[in-house]
Amino acid sequence: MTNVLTRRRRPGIARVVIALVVSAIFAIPLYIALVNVFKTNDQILLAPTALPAPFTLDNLIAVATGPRSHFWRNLGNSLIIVLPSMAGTVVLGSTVGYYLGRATGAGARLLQAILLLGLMLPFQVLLLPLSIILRTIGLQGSYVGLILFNIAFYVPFAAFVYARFVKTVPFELEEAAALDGARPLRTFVQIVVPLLRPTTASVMIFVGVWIWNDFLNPLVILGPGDGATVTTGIYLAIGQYNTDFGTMFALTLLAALPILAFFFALQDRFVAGLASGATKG
Amino acid sequence: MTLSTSASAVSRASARGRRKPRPLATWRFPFAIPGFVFYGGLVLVPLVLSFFYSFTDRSLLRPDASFVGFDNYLRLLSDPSFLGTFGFTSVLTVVNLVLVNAVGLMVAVLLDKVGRVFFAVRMAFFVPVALSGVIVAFIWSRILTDNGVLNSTLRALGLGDLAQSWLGTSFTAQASVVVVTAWQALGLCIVVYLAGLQTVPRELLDSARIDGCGPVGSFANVTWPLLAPSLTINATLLLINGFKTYDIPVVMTGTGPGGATSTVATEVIRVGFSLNRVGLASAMAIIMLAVVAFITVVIVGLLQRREVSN
Repeated sequence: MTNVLTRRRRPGIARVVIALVVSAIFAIPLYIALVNVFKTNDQILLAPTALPAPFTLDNLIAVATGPRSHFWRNLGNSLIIVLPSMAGTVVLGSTVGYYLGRATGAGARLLQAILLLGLMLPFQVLLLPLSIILRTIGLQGSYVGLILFNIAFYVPFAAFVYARFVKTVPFELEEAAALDGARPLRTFVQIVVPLLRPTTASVMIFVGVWIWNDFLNPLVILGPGDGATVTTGIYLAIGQYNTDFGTMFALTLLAALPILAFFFALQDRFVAGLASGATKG
Repeated sequence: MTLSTSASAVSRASARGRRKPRPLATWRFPFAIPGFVFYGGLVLVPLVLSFFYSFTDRSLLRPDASFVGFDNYLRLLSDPSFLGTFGFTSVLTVVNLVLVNAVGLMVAVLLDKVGRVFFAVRMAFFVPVALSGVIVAFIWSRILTDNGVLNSTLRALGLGDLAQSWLGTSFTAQASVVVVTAWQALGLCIVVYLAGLQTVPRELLDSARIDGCGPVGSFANVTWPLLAPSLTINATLLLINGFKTYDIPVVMTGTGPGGATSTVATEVIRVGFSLNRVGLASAMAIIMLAVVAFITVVIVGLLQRREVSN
């Protein structure tokens, strides 16, 4: 008999079966994306849902070593963009969040409202004037331009996540440090920053996934040539290899693996980040 | 009765635990300066420029531009193709909101159990959350294209009559974009509801059972009201992200056939960068921002009032 007392205890067999059926239906596209990596183009067209027989690694090899493949260059571009963008967002987001978490005046409320606007702003709204600005200051077509924009765009999100956590850090800790003669910067670096580590993981997972998967900003700011990232690379390859589906499936798998590994390594922080939002609104 | 007293006791206890920071806090302002310089220079300045351009006939091709008042806005509001785009974007957003919330809540309740099977199943729902819209659109385009997985499966099952050009006719292409965006959004919605379900105290459910509530009654009287913050988050995320939909129509349908699956976001980029009509595209962008901001303020206001009244 199921009742509320058995909740979160051993699930009934019916629930297990329903859960498996529902998730199997949901996961059909993922299954198709995975099995077709290991098939020839003929097999993909004839039997897209069948298991790979014969099993081939040719598609993966073509993407990894093919003369026309830009995969490694694009992977490098993605890392060159994602890592500094994440680092910058963490540094600037945590300092702004520290201020927002502690400040109480009307000025702080105004700054908070201005940042809130950034949370709901679609970046399509900014791209036209942004590309004009970047062209004017000579950063259009450069990694630096894209990285600076990523940081600026994600600072509001990071600041709010940090601010929410800073509010839970006991103020007495900082007072004690101040009594011991520590200046504000030192208090922040030595007392607050070590406590922010789990929050930083939450910020990194969201911002990392967003920037890795972004394709419009790199396409507009860097252009389609040597500056393509793995994500823009897929978009460009869809036009280029439009009949070579095996290569396309292999390319999508290789492009998704790094971010999936990162996502699942930190997934408990992802859930925690959302959970703190879910309980504190 | 017992429920409401214990719930308010919980909230009283948490209110007592919270303390107000002291005014000493103002000297922390320098910490906010670098972040605001970035945000101001690369987000607020473009935003103001976008607003300014929307009242001009500015083009990327020539440096001079003249002030045209509300011409761009009036033109958009009387342009059937933009109104069609706006209509499709709105329908997509609302269907996503209702569909994803309903399915997401059901799946979250289904999966709110411990055990290896449930952990693995939850992971399957999370995968699309971490995937790029470009990848999701590519996978689904192989399913929905004329000689794709869906049609070949229908024919193999003897349902060949149902096979059709899913991405080739307006209605089915629009429905496809809605389904695919919902498929990608579902995982995040489930995570938020699962996190919300973890916060429902066992004691409240136990006392509901003692008061004679069945599973449905305890869900309606205990769980659902306590999920109010999760609903607020999901509704806000789904509305904002729905209205911003870009990657999936661009990659899966090329916004076709005949622009049937174009969204406001795809039109901003097409009109601005392909047609070089910065003024007109900026007016679209400002309309888009106004709608998103309006939705957010109204929905968050309504739903948070509901949270408080609980």
